[in-house]
Amino acid sequence: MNKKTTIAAIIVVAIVVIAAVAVVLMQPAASTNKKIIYWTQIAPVQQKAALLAGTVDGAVGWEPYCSDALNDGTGSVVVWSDQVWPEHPCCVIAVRYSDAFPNNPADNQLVARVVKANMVATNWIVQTINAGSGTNYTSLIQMGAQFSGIQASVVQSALGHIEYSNQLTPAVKAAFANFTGMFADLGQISNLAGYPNTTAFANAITNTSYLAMAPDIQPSATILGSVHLGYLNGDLHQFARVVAMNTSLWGGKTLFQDYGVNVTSPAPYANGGAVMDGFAAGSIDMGYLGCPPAILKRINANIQIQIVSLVNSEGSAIIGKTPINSLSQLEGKIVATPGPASIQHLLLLYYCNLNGYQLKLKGT
Amino acid sequence: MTLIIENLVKKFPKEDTELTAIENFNLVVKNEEFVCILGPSGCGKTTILRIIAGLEQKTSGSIRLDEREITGPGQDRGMVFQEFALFPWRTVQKNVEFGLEIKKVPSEERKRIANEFITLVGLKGFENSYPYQLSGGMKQRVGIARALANDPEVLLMDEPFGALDAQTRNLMQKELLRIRQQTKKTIVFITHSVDEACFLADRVVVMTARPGAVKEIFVIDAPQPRDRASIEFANLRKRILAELEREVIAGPSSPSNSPEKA
Amino acid sequence: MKDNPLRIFGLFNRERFLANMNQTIFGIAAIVTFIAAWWGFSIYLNLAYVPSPDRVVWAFFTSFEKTEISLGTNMWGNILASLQRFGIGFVFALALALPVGLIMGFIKTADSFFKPLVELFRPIPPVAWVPIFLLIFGIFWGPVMVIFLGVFFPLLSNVIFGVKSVDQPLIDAARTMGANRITLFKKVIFPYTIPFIMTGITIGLGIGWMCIVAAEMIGAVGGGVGFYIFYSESIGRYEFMYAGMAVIAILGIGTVGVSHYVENKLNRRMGVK
Repeated sequence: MNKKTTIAAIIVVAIVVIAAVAVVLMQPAASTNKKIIYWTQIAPVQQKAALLAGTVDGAVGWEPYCSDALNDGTGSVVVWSDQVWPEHPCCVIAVRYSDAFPNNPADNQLVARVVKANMVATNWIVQTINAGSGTNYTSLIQMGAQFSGIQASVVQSALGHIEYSNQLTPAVKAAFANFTGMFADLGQISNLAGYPNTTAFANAITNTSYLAMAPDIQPSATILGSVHLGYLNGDLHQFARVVAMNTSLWGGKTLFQDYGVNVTSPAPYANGGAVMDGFAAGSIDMGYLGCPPAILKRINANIQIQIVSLVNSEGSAIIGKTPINSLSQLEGKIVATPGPASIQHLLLLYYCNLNGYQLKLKGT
Repeated sequence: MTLIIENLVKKFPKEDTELTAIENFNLVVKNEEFVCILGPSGCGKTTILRIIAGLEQKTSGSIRLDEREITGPGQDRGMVFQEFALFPWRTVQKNVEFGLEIKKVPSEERKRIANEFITLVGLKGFENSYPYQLSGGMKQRVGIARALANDPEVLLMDEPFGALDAQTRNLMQKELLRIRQQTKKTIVFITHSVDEACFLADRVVVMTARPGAVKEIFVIDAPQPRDRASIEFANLRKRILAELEREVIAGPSSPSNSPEKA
Repeated sequence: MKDNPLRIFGLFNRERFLANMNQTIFGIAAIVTFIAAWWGFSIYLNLAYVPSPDRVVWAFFTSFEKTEISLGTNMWGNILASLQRFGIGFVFALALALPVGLIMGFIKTADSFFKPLVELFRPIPPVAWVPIFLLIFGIFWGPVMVIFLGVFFPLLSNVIFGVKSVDQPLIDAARTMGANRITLFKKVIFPYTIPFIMTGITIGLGIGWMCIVAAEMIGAVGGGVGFYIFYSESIGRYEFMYAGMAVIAILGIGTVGVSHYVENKLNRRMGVK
């Protein structure tokens, strides 16, 4: 009679044994010559809580979440991104080239006008931050707090770590090429969309013609057309769009309208990859996103975009749970990153390699 | 062994009131006697058996087995169920050994006793079969063997052949008489079949409709085996049937559903 | 019972195969139609999101061969990580749902005590716990606990249902043979519940695999197939994403299939053919 019972018992025992063996196998191997830092994926908005809970010992994220963790002492700075990569590009504005848009000179005008409005808003932000006080400054901080859901004092610190600029300089293009090379080294891309090298690819993905048109563009009394514009949720890197959309600053209309463009946006995207998916789905014509996902999905998903303006540079940081404030103190510990497609992940990877550490996914 | 039932009363709570299922039931079952309790459906005959088995509590009155008051289930009373109630995950052998396991009889001894009763009920060769592999008649043989393996003083049978087809039923009745012959057990047997009662019993207790009480007791002294085709048998059946019919027509005294199991 | 072990899988059962011929033909036809339609669409749409079947098959095998540098492991490592997470969550769910379910089914006061809690938490999708479990239990145990929850409730419901549906005559029979409450529980109620437990396990396994992708959205230690799906999507390699989805399907079919087989065997034994 007990044949079946035995078989059932064997199956149960087998499952338990497999689970147990797995537990043993999955423990990180203790002995490797290289010094190791582990990473795991946690969204920046949750990173401070994860640091507090002791889930991770470090984090790499974007503003204002870095300042949020730093201001109350939860975290301490290991390194700011500009100390690793001075003036490194971060968020950009991209346009998708499809059959529908921008397929005529009028549409190209609209792209240039969005780029122009973004540039005007950026300049306003830079001037206001430089002034450091006054009604404009107060309303800037308020706008930031409202948009990101973070308290004003944190926004104030965060703005000090973000460089707002628009020009796609040769250095910016070189940085795009550099990121592309890093993705190739990681095996995340297996081709360069037909271009012979990363520099050629970076040049091809960058289109400076709209920035070149900008100085001659004047406000328009009439609306010339409309653009669907995507952006990221609560990301202060993309503050220029928030400022441009604020009607009280620009005489009762948005800055985009001032330049003759009606801008509509779907719900904010969670990350740059999602913005790229929005391009592919035809939900948006233009979008604010980080340059790494733009590069990755331009190649892997063959989404025909070009980068038409820089939005910001710098503004990310590697932080440790206080009192950790150096990379060596993170050895053998876990750092949270927004995910392997993000610029923050590349920053951590680069900085680890620079200092002789191997970055490994926790548990592999 | 004598089973004495005195002034047995059973009331069930029913909404706000109480439903009297059994009222002043009196019966004495003598040693090695075969008593059939017969009654219209809903008269409480199964309830009486369940109270004797200790599966239900009486409201008042007394049930004594050799002067010991019965308060709960015990191995001195074995029960055979209409639904067979075999443990489907146990083989025939293991089903029969169940009570012995509880008594903590050593396994060798258990095996010997179980084999003895499996042989007695004619299931030799089926020791390792599971209940689902057996026919209804075979299942009830297991039920009987299982009840007997505990060596009870009285065997309580609750419409044990009610779920069987007519042929199997007749065969099982004969088998039961043979088993009784060999084991000399006292048997209290519930049935609603007059024919079955006449064929099996030494005495037939006919009950009134609800509340159940003893209406009349028929003593059958015709020797075993009985001939269903004989005139005596037919006359006896007729008399009991007439008695029963009067009760069925009269119906229960309270117009509510029977709390008894179907 | 004394079958050739190969017959377990119905592979060498000629009669059954012939009897199911029609079903088999329709089944194959459905799959062929699906793949043809897929292939057609992938060519027609020419989108990275809809890779052709051969690309996905290629990605499937490549994912096993090639180590993903960012993750430090290949598909085997991801499967192992998922299985481990799944196994631990599952064993814990079993270890808790069994006693709690048996007690709730058997003891009325325990049922009254636990039932409001169970009813309160049961409707919450396990996925909803993902963010907070990460903080409470960390990056290893957080995802495990999501699996745990996914498996726990269906299992618990089945165990309780099993205990409550024990045939009254079986209990009566055991009592007339002298069983007290403890032996009744050991020798009647528990064995009776086993097929129900098995049904709960089968359902729980199915739900567990559905939870794993959600569980691995965050902080998946050692990767995991669900994590791999997210990762592949995030870098825009959709054929690898589909390959990961296929792996989850295969793992699900495999474990649920084994469980279903055991369940059927048990049901047969319990006479519930």
